[in-house]
Amino acid sequence: MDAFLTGLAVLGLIVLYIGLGTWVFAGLMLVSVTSLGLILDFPVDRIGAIAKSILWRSSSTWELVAIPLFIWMGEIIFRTDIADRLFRGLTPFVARIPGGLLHTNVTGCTLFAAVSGSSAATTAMVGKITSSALADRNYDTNLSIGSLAGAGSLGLLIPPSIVMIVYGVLAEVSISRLFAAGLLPGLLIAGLYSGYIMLRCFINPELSPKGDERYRLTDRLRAILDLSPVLALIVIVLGGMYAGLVTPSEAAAVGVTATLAITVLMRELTWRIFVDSLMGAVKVSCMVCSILVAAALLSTAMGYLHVPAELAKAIDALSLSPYQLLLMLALFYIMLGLFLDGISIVVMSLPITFPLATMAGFDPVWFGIFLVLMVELGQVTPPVGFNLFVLQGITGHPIGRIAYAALPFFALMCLGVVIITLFPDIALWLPRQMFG
Amino acid sequence: MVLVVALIMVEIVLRGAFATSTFIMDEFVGYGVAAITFLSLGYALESGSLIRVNVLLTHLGNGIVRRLVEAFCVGTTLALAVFIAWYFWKSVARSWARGSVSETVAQVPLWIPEGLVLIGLSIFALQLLAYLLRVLTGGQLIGDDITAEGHGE
Amino acid sequence: QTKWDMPNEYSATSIHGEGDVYFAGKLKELSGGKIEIVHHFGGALGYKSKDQLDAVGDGAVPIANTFVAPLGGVENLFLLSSLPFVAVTHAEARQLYETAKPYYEKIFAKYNQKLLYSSPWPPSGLWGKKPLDSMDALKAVKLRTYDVPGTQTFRAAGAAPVQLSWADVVPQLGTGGIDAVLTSAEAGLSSRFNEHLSHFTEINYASPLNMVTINLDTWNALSPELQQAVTKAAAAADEHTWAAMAARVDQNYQEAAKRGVQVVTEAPAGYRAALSKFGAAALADWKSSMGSDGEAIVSKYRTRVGRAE
Ligand code: NA
Ligand code: NA
Repeated sequence: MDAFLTGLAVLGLIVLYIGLGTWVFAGLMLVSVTSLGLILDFPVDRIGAIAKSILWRSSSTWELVAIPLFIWMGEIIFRTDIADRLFRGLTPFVARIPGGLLHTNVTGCTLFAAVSGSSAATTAMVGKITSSALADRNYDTNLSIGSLAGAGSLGLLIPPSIVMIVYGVLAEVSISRLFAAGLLPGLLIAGLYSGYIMLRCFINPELSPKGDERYRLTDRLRAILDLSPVLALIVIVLGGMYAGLVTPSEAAAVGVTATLAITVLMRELTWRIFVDSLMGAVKVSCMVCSILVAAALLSTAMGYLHVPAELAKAIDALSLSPYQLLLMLALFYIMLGLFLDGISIVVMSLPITFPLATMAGFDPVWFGIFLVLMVELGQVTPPVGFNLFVLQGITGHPIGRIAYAALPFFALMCLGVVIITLFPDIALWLPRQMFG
Repeated sequence: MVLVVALIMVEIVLRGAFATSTFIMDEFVGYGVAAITFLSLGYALESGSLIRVNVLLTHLGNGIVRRLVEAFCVGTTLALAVFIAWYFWKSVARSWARGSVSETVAQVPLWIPEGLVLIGLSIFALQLLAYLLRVLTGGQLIGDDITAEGHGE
Repeated sequence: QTKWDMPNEYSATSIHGEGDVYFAGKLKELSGGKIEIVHHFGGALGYKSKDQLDAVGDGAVPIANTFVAPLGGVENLFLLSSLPFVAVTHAEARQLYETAKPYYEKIFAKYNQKLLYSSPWPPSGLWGKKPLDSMDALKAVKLRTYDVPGTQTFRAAGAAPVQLSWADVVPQLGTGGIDAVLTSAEAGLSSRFNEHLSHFTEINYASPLNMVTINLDTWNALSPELQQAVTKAAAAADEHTWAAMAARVDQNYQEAAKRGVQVVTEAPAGYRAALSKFGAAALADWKSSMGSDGEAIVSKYRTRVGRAE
């Protein structure tokens, strides 16, 4: 299997460059350039032309804008009283639940997943707000980071979703149906995460601080007042989107504007905060976007190497039973997910895997959900995992630690895949109700 | 970035309230994202926000080996930045000579947005060069001043 | 044996994708298996059509299937096939292409590449929630258009054209942000517009073109026999895609009917004439931007199809 060896060689190069400590985005670009030059023996001018073209195309796309804007929104919320109020407000309500405020990671990501179509934006925005607050309140770091990494990837499964749009366009599957199909599996996985957090904290209460105070009705009313800025933000952004006033891609700008407006109303916004949040957002989005752009170049290099297509063809040649095929595809996508980013995985493999899956009798909408889950798995696996990078940028923890913390959530996501494979109606019921 | 938000808001208001459109929003926002990403590379580098896997680096202490590895990382990244900047330069020069514009109403000369990327890459390369000299002459390393200042923003 | 990576922004099942597969098959046969095409559909290699003129010229890819309208900012000639109401039948669209072919070839040579064949889009019409077959019906309809002439034409006609990226179109249809889309029956069907829209009004607005070009250095390095194989395969692919386009329009209408979409083919002649009049400004603009070539192409084309306007 030539393609397999080539894939391993590229993986080795990535580990070498990034392991030495080269900046991640530069490492990915260096791997791309090196593999085009060494493995394919392309002339220098050709590599230069490829690199320029792909870097320009992938950095100047309008869909990318949600990332810097949601990060900015997170920075503003983080620097003003809104974040504090959010946690103060939630405390009375979650005091009795094992895991307490840890659930804000899961619920927060689930809610923002309904606004943003990308997982990097969801993780960055929620992570910026919650990670330091949870650390200050003595919650277990591994659970906190892990749940962020896992739940952040729900941005892709809960509509709207960029990956679903790409899949829908390529496979000629209804995007509206895909969106509807993603909702219940998304909630299912969020439920698995919450259940896991509860279980862990129930078994080992050390993982979350004690919340043994009693709360009276007035405390709860005050709590609702504290929550109102965040609730207002959610209503404005989600409402604007589902009323058709703004497109999913524009929702981020509405979010930033609404956040600024609310902080002005609360007399919280100072020039200093404005500038600091802006500079903070510029730094983080530069980090995230530069890696995304580098990953696009790596995907192109893999395309020239024909790795995904050859691997998929090899699977085709095995002529497996439907469930064996699905297992093989899952392994194949997890392997691709080690070093490719979401959309590229779908685009490069789909021409071969889609006919395979439909011929084996899988519903095209269901397969789309399966694929999105596969992409989500790739977001939390090293060496190239976007949620891991984002969290490293936000929390400063080393990537190995973050990947370790994400491991149980990776396993839960795999469990989710098994569940929707055994009960495909979890995905297919809602679209059938809505569109017949 | 402020401009990008403003532009999108104008588009939403135009479309919602006046049933028309700027017709250029996605184009300019795209340029904006590219410009933000590349123009801030140098700043993000210096402030330590560009992430890297520093398992190896932190194990090497502060000796000569650490400096050699760091020099290798900076050197290869510098070579990469110069390489890519060179091809952006060729493209900018060509767009200028041809007078190529975008296909939208705005008809933006293509050398301008690509030129912003070129400027960003050049600044980044210059900072890398300065940093390389700093590494070789025993100056302060980027990861170090972050821990020293306690991640002060 | 050589392998050529061939990017195409559109999917394998699109008219362009099928054309590429047909071309690859012919080429493999005619070259005795010496040239194999590796397809990268759906933009899988990372290029969009607007990048591909330079990608082929610089040799980043040896060959590519490119939608030429977005290249209009580089060379005005590429706007020709998407001008409103210039070619309103299948035969006219083909005549327009054949007339302009020498000019296309000249331009491509300037960008270090050679034109092999074209593949046309089925003509664009109006997807909507009602028949959009009169000026009254068009009034204030929020219509998604895709280029400058389209926007100008429909704004003049009283509609409210908006520009959205293709990815936003279906979500916006779902939430009611737009209520009509200017595109082909085929594109609408493959994106399942039928779940949100009930009518397709045929106005034969334009049949824009994709073109397949090969890098000149790659071409010059081929032996005369292989060059001949490429030329022959390209000619066959050209015939194939144009024939496929005609067949596709019928298939698409049948498929639309099957999915409960009403296809309105008989818009009043006065309506189409009025729309064409609004489109005429775009043609005039284009001609003035092209200098003497523009006038030459249009008058040659008019003579060939025997239509004064
Ligand atoms: Na989402
Ligand atoms: Na990964």
